[in-house]
Amino acid sequence: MFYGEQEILTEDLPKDYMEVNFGPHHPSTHGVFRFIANVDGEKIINVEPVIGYLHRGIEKIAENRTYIQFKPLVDRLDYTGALNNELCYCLAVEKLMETEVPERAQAIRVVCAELNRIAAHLIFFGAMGLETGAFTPLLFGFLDRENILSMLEVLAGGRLTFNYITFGGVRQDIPARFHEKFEKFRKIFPVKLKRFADLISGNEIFINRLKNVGIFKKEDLFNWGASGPTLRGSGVRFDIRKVEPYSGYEKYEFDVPVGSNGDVYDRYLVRMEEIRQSLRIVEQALDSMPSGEHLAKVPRVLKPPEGELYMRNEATKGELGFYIVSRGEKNPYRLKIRTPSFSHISMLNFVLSGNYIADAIVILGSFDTVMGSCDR
Amino acid sequence: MEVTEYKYKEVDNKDIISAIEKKAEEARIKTSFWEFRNQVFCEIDADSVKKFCRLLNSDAELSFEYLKCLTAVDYIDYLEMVYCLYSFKNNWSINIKAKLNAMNPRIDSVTDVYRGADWHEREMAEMFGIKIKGHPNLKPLLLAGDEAGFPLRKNFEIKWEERQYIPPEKFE
Repeated sequence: MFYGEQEILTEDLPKDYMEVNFGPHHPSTHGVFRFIANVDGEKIINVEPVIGYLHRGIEKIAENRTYIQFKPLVDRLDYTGALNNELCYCLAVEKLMETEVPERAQAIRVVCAELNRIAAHLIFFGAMGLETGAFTPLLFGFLDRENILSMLEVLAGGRLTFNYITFGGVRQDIPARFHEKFEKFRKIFPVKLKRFADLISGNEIFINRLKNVGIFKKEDLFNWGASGPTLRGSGVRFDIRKVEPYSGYEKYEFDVPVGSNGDVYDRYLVRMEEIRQSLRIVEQALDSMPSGEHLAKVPRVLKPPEGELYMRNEATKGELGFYIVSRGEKNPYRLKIRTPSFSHISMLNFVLSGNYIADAIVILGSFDTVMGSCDR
Repeated sequence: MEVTEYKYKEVDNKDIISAIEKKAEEARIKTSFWEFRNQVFCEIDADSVKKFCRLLNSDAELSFEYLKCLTAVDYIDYLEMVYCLYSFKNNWSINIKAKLNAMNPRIDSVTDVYRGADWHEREMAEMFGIKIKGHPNLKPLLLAGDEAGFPLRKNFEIKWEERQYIPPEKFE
């Protein structure tokens, strides 16, 4: 009788899912990010992302600062690819002001933005290895990133937050030492990339871990506002550098890599191929560097005319956009920053539901999110 | 999985305006267009935003499938919602604007049309106090919830922390 009663009792209980708290201080979250997952055994039922730990109110600060005073803060959005953020902000303000940027400045901008993209993708390479349990890629990635950062240090004077690109051009011309460093880097780096491919990309354990995990359909990605390598991984050959060329990208030859299956491994391969293409762009830009001024003449205090616009570029993680409302004052009236990480993390519940909890980390890692850019 | 190619296309803003105007007239939505710095802007009533977005998204010819950006602007007398849409097929962009009452801002959610609008709308709700009708989950997103007022409104003042410099005491 006793055992029978207990059976009835357990049947009457509502089926309860286990709540797993992930983060906010977990190395796989790439910053301070937390999500609460309801799991049924090993399967994720739903996920509730919790963001805002790094919210600094950058959009409100922008309204209380002049255009040039706000520029250093733009670096702090996606700090792995800071020059791309600066480029987008400067392009937006230049478009409002109708400033023409000298050709040499445009080429220098392309060089530093693409070098920064390589550095950001190398972090992704290291982190992806870490997420699958290998520590070596992290060291390999950071070693080569160090070479790029020391090159950018010669060029811009900073290593992580540069404040290098300004309205009308760049702050200083390319020094001779940069060319010396780049010539060395150009010889070594393709060899290193081949070593990465041999060691990680072709590794059977790595491939089996990532293949057929987290497959996204392109219709869903359009609807969720995904962009960049995440979109390209699902077989959409779309790149803002090609479709809406800015800063003279139409002059350079490069391919846009796409994935065929839409899984985590494809997004990884897309990023690794983008490193090669970025190197191609940098080589072309440096070989055909036009002569001339590196900075156009712009007034010291900017007062763009009344109006508003949305400007976007292809940042390292996807589409970065600035919506600037100007009322002819020296401060922007309203400045909205649309960041790729914000859109990608917002689709996390949709993407992770139905997957195993062990796959959650690699799927989140394949977005390559940066919380500074998500929380703003 | 098939590869979809999107290449550079020349865009004439007059084509965008004439194509959308035609469709909007058929659906009886009042629109007014203007251009600024080679970008198309369109103003519509706040009540018809959802209908208009659905029209632009579902129409095979226009196919504005992608919500680039969603934001709000506080003009003190009134608020304004801005939807930046993009059409992959035609390489068209459009910025849709809708005015809202500053005292009681209300607008329909577009999450049914663009699911990516979910968090953007949540952010606008907590930053501007806009009531978004039909949104599935309007919890605070970025803020802790202990602020008085709405931070991105113009009447919200930043209280800078006053820091006094205290010189170190001299050793005697």
